Amino acid sequence: MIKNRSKTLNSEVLRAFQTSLLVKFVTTLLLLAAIFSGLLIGVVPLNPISVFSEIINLLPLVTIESSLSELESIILWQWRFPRVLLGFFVGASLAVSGAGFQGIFRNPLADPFLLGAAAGAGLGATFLIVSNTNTLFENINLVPLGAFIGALSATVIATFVGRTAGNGPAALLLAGVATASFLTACQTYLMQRNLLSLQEIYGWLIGRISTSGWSEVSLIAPYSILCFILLYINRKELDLLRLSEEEAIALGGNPKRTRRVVIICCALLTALAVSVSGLIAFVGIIVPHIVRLTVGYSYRIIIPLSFFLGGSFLVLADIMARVVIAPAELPIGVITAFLGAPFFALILILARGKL
Amino acid sequence: MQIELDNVSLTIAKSNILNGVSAKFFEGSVTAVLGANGSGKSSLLKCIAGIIPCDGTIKIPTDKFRKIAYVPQRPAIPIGMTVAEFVLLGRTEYNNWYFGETALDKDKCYQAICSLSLSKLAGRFVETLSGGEMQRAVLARAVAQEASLLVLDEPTSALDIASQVEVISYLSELQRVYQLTVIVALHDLNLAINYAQSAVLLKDGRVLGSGDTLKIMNSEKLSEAYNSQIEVTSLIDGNKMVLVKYNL
Repeated sequence: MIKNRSKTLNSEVLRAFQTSLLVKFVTTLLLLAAIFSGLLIGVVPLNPISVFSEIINLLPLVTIESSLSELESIILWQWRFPRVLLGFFVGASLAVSGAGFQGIFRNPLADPFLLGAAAGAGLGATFLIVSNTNTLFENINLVPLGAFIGALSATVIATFVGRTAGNGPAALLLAGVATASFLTACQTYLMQRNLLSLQEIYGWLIGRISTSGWSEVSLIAPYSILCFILLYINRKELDLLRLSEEEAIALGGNPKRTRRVVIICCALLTALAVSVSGLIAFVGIIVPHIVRLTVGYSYRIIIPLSFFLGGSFLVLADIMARVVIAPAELPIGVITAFLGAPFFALILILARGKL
Repeated sequence: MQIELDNVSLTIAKSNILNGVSAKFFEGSVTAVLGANGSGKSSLLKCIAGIIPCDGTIKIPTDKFRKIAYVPQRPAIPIGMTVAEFVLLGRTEYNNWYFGETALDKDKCYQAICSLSLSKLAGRFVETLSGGEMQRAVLARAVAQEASLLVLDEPTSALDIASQVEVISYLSELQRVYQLTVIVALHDLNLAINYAQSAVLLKDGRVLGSGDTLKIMNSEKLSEAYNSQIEVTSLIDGNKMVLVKYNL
């Protein structure tokens, strides 16, 4: 009954082990297309060859004459580039933390704001806007800091309540729901008491990618890369979590440690993303599902693809937000939901039977 | 070389699941763990596999039993996972943290898939497999783990007769080829008496008897363990048969 091993690997077994080259190619192409479109498209159009020359000039020992004017150069390096990178890191962070939360909670509806990060960030930002503390320091916008502290505090509270209630993922999930409800109620109270600030709060809540130089990018990029590496290291452990707890342990996994690492990384990524861009809905839930439905369910694929596709998706959405009613801008949250929802519905229909 | 359990006890939520269990499991043999529902079979297996901590001593010689594979009563069926990916999970402990599975991992996985005649199903999603095929996939995952001790919790309980025979045939073949030590909880007493070389009989978390299967599985001990009238008879070909008397 036990067959001798043949020298040539069976083609079906081999196919099942390979991540398609086409997938890697399409992801890279999409990422490059999104970044270049983000750099070129805007109220002031930039010459593609000049932009390409400017980028090539970054390489050591390479000097190419660029035909960009001084103003265009400032637009490229102080405005477009930071904005594209900020969009990329926010989208990548939200998408990969959505994938991480879906993995540890074994729940396809889990999103980055599951543990109350959105409500916490909302309350933190609302508090700073209505209390006018934002104007205390000239040239320093305190709202992102308030949002970051709010998001992180909400996650810590939800995690504490969840862990006190029990060890299972359900306890944590319910604790997140309770924390979010409480904080949203507090935020609604503050908003009702300060009707004059409603528009500013609403503008923040709906999410936007806007930069003033490189400060936001330098804030989010290192943590985003670090957390992505940690999640990537845990990709096989996340696959083990798709089995039962006891099987995961028997196969050499450590579900408790994995949950802890993933929660810390995802909470940090979410808090940073909301602090620099407000609440951008939908990215964290649709991007990992698009990867699942089109490429595969293994976290070996979901984690890296969610990161790069999430980033590309938000860069493209930001281009739309800038262009649709130019020179004014649409909130990016509107674009992600307006374009993302029908696209996701289409993927759902095309992949019927897979859910 | 043997695995020794000395005074193993387990208490969950103030309820004594295992009470001073002492037993021996011999290298390269099949030991059946028997007992009625709630007698502590599954808990004992989890303690041996190191999944739940317990009191007492479990001596497992690490030079002989480097890896332990555990197959639960109802293995999880992850949606959207191919058989190859499922078997590859058995190599998690060997994987490199960055590069993931190596050519050796894929090779071992391929061997495991072929050992259980699953190569044509390698690209299929596990949720589309029949009960018997799924159980073979779980066994292939255990083979990929390169475990020398196989701990199985009622591997045939959800299968029809044909699938039971198939899975047990594969299991005994694997045990013989890879010189595995198998500890298996079984509800099917006929299967246990004909398949296992030794048995541990549990009742209410205590050992009612342990040792050679034919000695332990007698009418008196089985009737006591299961609170039923059970007869063990010999067939003409030398095989044993366990009969349950129903008072209907």
